[in-house]
Order: sequence, then C-alpha cells, then structure tokens
Amino acid sequence: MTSIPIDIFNKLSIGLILVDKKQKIFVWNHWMENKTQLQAESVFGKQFSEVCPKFKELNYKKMIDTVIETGQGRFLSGALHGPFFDYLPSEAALTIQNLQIEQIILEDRELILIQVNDITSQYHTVHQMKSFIKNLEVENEEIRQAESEAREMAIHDELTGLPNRINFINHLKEIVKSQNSRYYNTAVIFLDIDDFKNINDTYGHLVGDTLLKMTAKRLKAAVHSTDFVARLSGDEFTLLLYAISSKDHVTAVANRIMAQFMNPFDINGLKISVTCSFGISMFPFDGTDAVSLLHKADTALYRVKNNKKSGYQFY
Amino acid sequence: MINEEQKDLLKEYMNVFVGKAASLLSEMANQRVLLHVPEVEILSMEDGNDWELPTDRLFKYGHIVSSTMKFGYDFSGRALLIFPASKAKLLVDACLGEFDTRDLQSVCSDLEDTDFDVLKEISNVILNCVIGEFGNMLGVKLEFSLPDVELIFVSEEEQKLYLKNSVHIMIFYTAFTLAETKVDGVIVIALSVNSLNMLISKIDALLGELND
Repeated sequence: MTSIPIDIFNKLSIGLILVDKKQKIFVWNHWMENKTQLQAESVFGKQFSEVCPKFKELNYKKMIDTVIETGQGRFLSGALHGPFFDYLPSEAALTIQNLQIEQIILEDRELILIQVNDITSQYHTVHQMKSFIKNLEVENEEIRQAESEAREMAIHDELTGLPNRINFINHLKEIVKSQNSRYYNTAVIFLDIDDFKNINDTYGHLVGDTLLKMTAKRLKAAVHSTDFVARLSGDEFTLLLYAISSKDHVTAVANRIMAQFMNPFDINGLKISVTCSFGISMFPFDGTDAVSLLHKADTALYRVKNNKKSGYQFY
Repeated sequence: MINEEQKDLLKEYMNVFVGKAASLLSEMANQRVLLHVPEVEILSMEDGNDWELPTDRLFKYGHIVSSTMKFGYDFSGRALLIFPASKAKLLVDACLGEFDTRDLQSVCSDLEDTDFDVLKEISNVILNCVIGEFGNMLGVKLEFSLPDVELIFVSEEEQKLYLKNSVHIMIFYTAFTLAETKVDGVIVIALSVNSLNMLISKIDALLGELND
C-alpha cells in the first residue's frame, strides 16, 4: 500500500477510513485519531464494526455489502441514525457524524472508502433552535391563553361571573341594531336590592358579596337560559328578556323574579331576608337605542323606590 | 422512435422499480406510499422544438427541493427526485419520528442543515434503488454519484428549462404520495442517446421473448 498518499489523507479535515472487502481497516487518518483517540496502529486489521458498533447490526452490515456488490454509494445522515462513533466524554455529550460510503478501485483492488463528517455543532444548533421554537410556541400559547382570559375578565364581573356593564351595553346596542326577529320585543329590566347598604353595614362586605353572588344565581334561575343577566355595579343588576309575546309574558317573568326573593338567603347559617325592586322598559316601544331603554327602565325603578315598597313597574 | 408497445413495457418496469423504492421510503417515513401511473416521454433536443412537458403534473413552480444523481458507464444519465419545498420538511419530520398532524396545517419550508442531510439520504436510497434496478434489467454495472440536494426557486418560465438542462433525450417520470403527510414527490430519469438505444434494444428483446 505504499502508493496510498497517507500524508494527504492525514491533512484532510474530515475523517477518512479505508476498509477492504472483508471490511478490515487499513487506513485510519489523523482526523479519526484525534476525534476518537484511537491510534491508527491500534485499529489496523480490525473489523470496521469493532470501532463502529452500529455496523454489527444486520441492516448496517447489509449497507456496506450493497456498496461492495453494486458499487452504489451510500450516504448516512447522523440526524437520522444518531452517533456512529463514541468520542471521548470530554469532547461532547453527544457527537453526530454523517457517513459517506463508496466503493473505490485502488491498484486493482476493490476497497471501501468511508468519509466521516462531524456535524455535532450543526446538529446541536439545530436542536437548540428546535427547542427554542418549541419554547416560543409554548410561550405563545400561554400569551394567547392569558389574552383570552383578560378579554373574558374585561367583559365579566369578577365577583358574580355575570357579564359586566360594558358587556351589557354592547349587547343591548347590538340588539337594537339587529334585524333578528328573536330580539324584536325585548324587555329591559333594571333591578336593585332594597336597602343593600344596610346588609353591608350590618353584616360586613364579605356577607354582602356572598349575597350578591347568590342573587346572581337566583336571577338566572328566574329567567330563560337564553335570556341575558348582567351586574352593572354594586347591587344593580340588569336583565334582557327576548322574544316577548305580550305584557303578560313579562309580568309572569317579573313575578318569578320577585318569588326568588321570598325565601331568605342562607349565608353560613345566617338567614337574611331581602327584597328587590325593578323597572321595565320595552324595545322597541319605549325606545330604539340602548341608552334611552336603560334610562327608562331606571326611571321606572326610581318610581318603585319612591313608593317605598318593593316591586316592579313598567315605564 | 418508440412505439406504444415499447412504451407500455417501459412503464411497467418503471412501476416495478419505483414500487421497490417506494417500499424503502415507506419504511423510512413509517407510512404508506401511493404510486401514480408512470409516464414515459421522449424529447429530442435535436429538433430544437419547445417540449410539451406536462410540467404542471411533474411539479409546481416555486421553491423545490431537488436531488440530482449522475450515473454512468454504458448506461448513463441523470436521476432526479423532486419535492415541493413546503412538503420536504414534513417528509424529514416523518423520517425523524417528529411528524405531527398539526404540521399539515402549516406550510413550513424552513429546512435546517441536518434536514438536507436527511433528504440526501432519502434521495440516495430511492434513486440508487431505481437506477440499480435499471442496471440489473440491462445486465450492466453502473457507477453512481451521491446525490446533490438543492433548494431552488423555479419560476413558471424556468420550469421547463430546469428539466431541459437535466435531460439528454428521454425522460421517464413517476409521481408518488406519502399517504399521511400528503407529500408529493416526482422521480425523473433522463438518459443519453446511447443509453436510450440500449434500453430500447433490451425492451425489444423482452417483447420478442414475450411474443415467442
């Protein structure tokens, strides 16, 4: 093998291995020595699979056999196959190489040339980039989730979970603009709890807050599930009853609301009896815009309050 | 230059060869590969005519990942494996076991360095198989180069030119689809005049055997 330009092989900045047809190593260049810490003399005459254990597996052994039989070169991607050579632990936690296996004819001998290209740094860069992208996706999902929660919070009342004032006003504006027959004949109810200030002053804000939460539940129970119940502020609630067929229809619902306040509220064993008052305006009879409809329901409520008696009135 | 009978037999052989390559790809990507009916076109450069290549059926213009492999000696030419760039990443991910059905929704063409290595190996396996089968059929030993993988942009006007540069006189092509990832690929084989004559002689001999 004197004609093999070993010096040239040793100058190469890739790994170069030559094996004979029996897959015995007889060229192992400096790059391979430096990377694997295996000296050429120690691997000469050894089977290739002894220094590259993956090639003990049948499918890898077959790849070299195919190159010998057919002359077809074979490229093996480290990204697909994982590491072929285990470098010293100090070199890197995981090293990855691409292999290029080709047949060559040298001095009438058919040999196998194996080129080893270290792609460890590219591989790790790609993996870092992939995990970076994955982290970005996770963060993006968290941000989207947080934005969605923030949007929900912005239009809902934190205490009762009901739609808040902004939500109610926007909804009412949509209804008056809508051509949907379902919204034609809608009742707007403006309700507050009588003497609620006394509840807070007597039992404290914690009890007052619990009472408001329970009121929200009772109001929802009194109306149809598709009707709209909102908390404007403090002890003020608003309701929208859709597809009203007659004044009697509204009266029936109004009586159901009143009935919800007949039984006292049980707050940690404390039984508190409260009443409510509300005013009712009708869309489109009493107005065709959100502000006037709410104002007229409030005016009707004011009249009830002036009578110093709980109950309800139409505008 | 080639009659319908010869064409049909070539198609049949091409179907078998690509079928073998497809089963290797199926193993690598771990999913079914559907084969389309192969086509055989003869294109004469000498005529200087504009070829009527069904390029829209071969590949859509735009970014493509093209792997080219030369093969030589008595039977020589070029073999190409072409994927749309937007789908090549899905194929790589499928081979790496990182395929996620969500990926189908996004058109991702960001190929990393290591993705090109994987595509090189896929092309190497598929094209070696197809060309190797041609060599076996003709009873000749072939020399193969390893494929060069390129990400290139081919405009509508350049689409025919791209193939023309790779074609000597004859073109076989076949298309396949990976069932789950919906990745479409095309294999194109271009032959020199001498190689075409060798192939036609072989086909005639085979037809003669069949007719006897």
